[in-house]
Amino acid sequence: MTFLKLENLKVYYPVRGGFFKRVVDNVKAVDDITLELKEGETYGLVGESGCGKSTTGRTLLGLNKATSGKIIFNDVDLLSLNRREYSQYRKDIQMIFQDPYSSLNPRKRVIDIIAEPIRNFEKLSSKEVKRKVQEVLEKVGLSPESIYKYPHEFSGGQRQRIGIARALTLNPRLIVADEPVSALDVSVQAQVLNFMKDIQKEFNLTYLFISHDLGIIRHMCDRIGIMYKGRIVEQGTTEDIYENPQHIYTKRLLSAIPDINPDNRDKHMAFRKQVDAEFNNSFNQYFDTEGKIVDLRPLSETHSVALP
Amino acid sequence: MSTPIVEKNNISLQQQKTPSGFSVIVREFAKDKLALFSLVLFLGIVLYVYIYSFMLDQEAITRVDLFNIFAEPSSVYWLGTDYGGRDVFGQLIIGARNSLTIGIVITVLTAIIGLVLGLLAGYFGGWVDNVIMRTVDFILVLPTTMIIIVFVVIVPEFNVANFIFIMSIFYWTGKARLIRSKTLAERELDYVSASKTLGTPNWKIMLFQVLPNLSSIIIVNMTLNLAGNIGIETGLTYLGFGLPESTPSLGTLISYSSNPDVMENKWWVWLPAALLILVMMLCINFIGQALKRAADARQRLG
Amino acid sequence: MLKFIIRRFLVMIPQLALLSILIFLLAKAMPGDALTGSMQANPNLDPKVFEELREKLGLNDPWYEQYGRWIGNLFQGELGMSYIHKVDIADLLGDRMANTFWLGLVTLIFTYLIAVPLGVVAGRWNESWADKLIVGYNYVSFAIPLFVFALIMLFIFGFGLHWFPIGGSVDVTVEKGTFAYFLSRIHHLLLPAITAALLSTVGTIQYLRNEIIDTKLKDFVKTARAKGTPEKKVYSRHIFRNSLLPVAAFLGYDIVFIIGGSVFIEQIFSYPGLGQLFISSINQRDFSVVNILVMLFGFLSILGTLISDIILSIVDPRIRID
Repeated sequence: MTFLKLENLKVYYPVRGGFFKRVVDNVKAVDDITLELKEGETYGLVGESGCGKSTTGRTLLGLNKATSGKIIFNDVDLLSLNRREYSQYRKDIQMIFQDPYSSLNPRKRVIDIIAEPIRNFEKLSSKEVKRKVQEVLEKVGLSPESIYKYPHEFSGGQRQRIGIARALTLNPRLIVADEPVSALDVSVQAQVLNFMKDIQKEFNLTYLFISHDLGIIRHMCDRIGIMYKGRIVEQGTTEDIYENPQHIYTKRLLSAIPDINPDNRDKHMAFRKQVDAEFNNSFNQYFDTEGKIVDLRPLSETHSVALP
Repeated sequence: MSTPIVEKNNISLQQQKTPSGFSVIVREFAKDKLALFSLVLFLGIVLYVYIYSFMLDQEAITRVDLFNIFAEPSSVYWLGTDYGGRDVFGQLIIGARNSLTIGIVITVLTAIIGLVLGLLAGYFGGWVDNVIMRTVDFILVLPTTMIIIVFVVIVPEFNVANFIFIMSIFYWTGKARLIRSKTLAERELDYVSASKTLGTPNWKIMLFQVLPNLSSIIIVNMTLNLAGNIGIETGLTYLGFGLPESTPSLGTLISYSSNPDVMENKWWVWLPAALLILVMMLCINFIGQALKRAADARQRLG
Repeated sequence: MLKFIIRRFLVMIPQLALLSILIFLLAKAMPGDALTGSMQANPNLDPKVFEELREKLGLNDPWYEQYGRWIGNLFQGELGMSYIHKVDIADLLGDRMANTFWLGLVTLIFTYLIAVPLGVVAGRWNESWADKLIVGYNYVSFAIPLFVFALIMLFIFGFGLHWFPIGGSVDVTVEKGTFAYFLSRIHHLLLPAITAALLSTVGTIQYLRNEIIDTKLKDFVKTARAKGTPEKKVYSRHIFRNSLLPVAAFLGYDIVFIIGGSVFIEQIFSYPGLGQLFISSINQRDFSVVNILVMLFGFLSILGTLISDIILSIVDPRIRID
């Protein structure tokens, strides 16, 4: 039984040019990636901005169209379903958005925001809806009295909780969290993250956690995939990646994490120099002749890397 | 962390029903005395015209009275009489009512067409957008006034409904453009994506999620359009291609001025109608500008 | 750049084609055809003869064949006959076209003469009393319907003060070709042109004012000030140069506006131009003339927007939509 598997997923955007606006090229936002999530785990997708990690998440939810490939959820390929058949899986996969300001409609009260999925999928009386919304609000640590407020009356952290509450109302099994805390103050980031960990246990959720913050990823994730230019360059458990990075891109990412301990400064500096030298000298070893990223090759049971 | 919010909650609930709502508009009008004056004056005119026209006997007013041709303003005929001895003041009231009503109907109709097509074009993009926007571009370059006049002349049975229909075909384009561009911007916001992932159908997202966020610009645009539409209707009627004789408009009274003698010596026939249009247009525009500032936080006075 | 212009030209072709089809279909819906005029002139002739003629002229062919012929004739400059005046439409248009052209040109000149200084003053000293006056004028000119304003202008300056003639394009008494003739024409042009110009300044003034106010706050202007550039130079060298250029692009849109208004202006000021010809033709049900006029005005509108779009794309590359 596969819980979730992305198989050879590609998302291309055509580039039109010339006089007749023919498709002259493709932007390969996601270029042939394959990854699998087990139920209950947190899989982190890391990479620089523009590497295709958000596109992957949005494609998984049907917000972007996949060019080819498969998204297998519960042994069913979601991409092969029509709208009707797809709608029954809608409840199972939900998303937490990056920006808690634009992801809540400013013209809607909290009750309408959180009740939107309930009204879509369940026929409940308005009293029951209200009770349910209050329940969920309480779960995410907001006052059940605030259901008639508008989003602008809340702080960023509180807004993100409302967004999470909205995603939780349908009892999803998989949540795609697209940089859920990067728009928040550092002081509330930990709060929200720990809260996400709590509800993961409570509801047996699986997370696809998208972030560029390596510290957060290490804190949150069981397994990690490093994305670069639309492809996965290295994949493994958190330990594999942080303790035994193999690909030069992973190494460069890790070397960029600042070390807070001044005693380690020299050591850290040496590490950075070494990575830099390796990058300059042996660039060709990591990419194929055209500078493209090669396919993943397993190193151990959990660890695989894109090396030729 | 939740207790202090609960305390504050009950008070703020009543105060802040909507983020940029009625109170902002009230404040804007309080700051802009001209807009406030315009609002009062315009509402006064509208109420007076509608209530008074109910009490008027339209047949008595349109009855020809050959003994009173071009009577000067007097206590009986406040604004004198026209070439048929008909009371100008009564015609002014009825004309104003007709012009206002038709202006409003056309504004609402064009708003609906523009809204639907603009939302569709902006929300879906792609070929839907292409088809709608190319149509808009085409209608915008047409010599609209002339084509409407031609339509008016060749329509077999010309009546008010036809006139409204013909006008509405040509004047929805500006609105569609505006709505489309705003929808394009809204579509990119995450709350639309969120609604999609929550299983809300597209038409519901358009109507209940996107549309409320456009409401303020729509209201502003409709106000300004109302003025424009009244201007176009009276203008066409002035030329003789607007409302049929049986439904006098303000333009009908003004059209008597094409006779130089009326223009120069019997000013009471046409000038009041012209001035009434002028006053109403100015009022509506000042109201519209105040609403516009209220809708756009950067321009607010208060 | 060139690609944009060519593409913009290509957009114009289907627009023109659609316009001509629309007008042709309207014409088909109108009562009467090319023979109606001569039929009315010879009521005694046998209707059968006309039926034969009709067949010969192809008036019984399917509409698309007739359309093809019509367009072909238009391209060769054959506009057809007026039903009423029994003359070639081209002859009918000649003088009036010149009249409308001069009126349009003088209106345009006045528009810019009024709009540019006012826009610059309002932008340069925004929030001053002059700015408030100009903004007020802008509100009012935006609000007033053209025909109401034209009537009131005519009433005051034509009938009341007798400063300007109340109709025509020239005094009948003056001899053609003399200086007095020229002056008389100008005299007849002034009131309609000023009237139309006073209302067509809105867009330009508003654009200039906003643009100047925006530019004032830009960093490069601050830099210029910080370098110690005199205030006068900051405006002439840095702000106006950036803000005035796009105004040129309004030319086409202004042309479209003035064309649209010419029906009203010429009718009210009894100015014998194309707009007035349109109204009189449609009142006389002279549909062959009406068709040509709508086609001509439509063509000018399309041309106007084309001009503006192209100028705009040259001055402001951001607007190059495709």
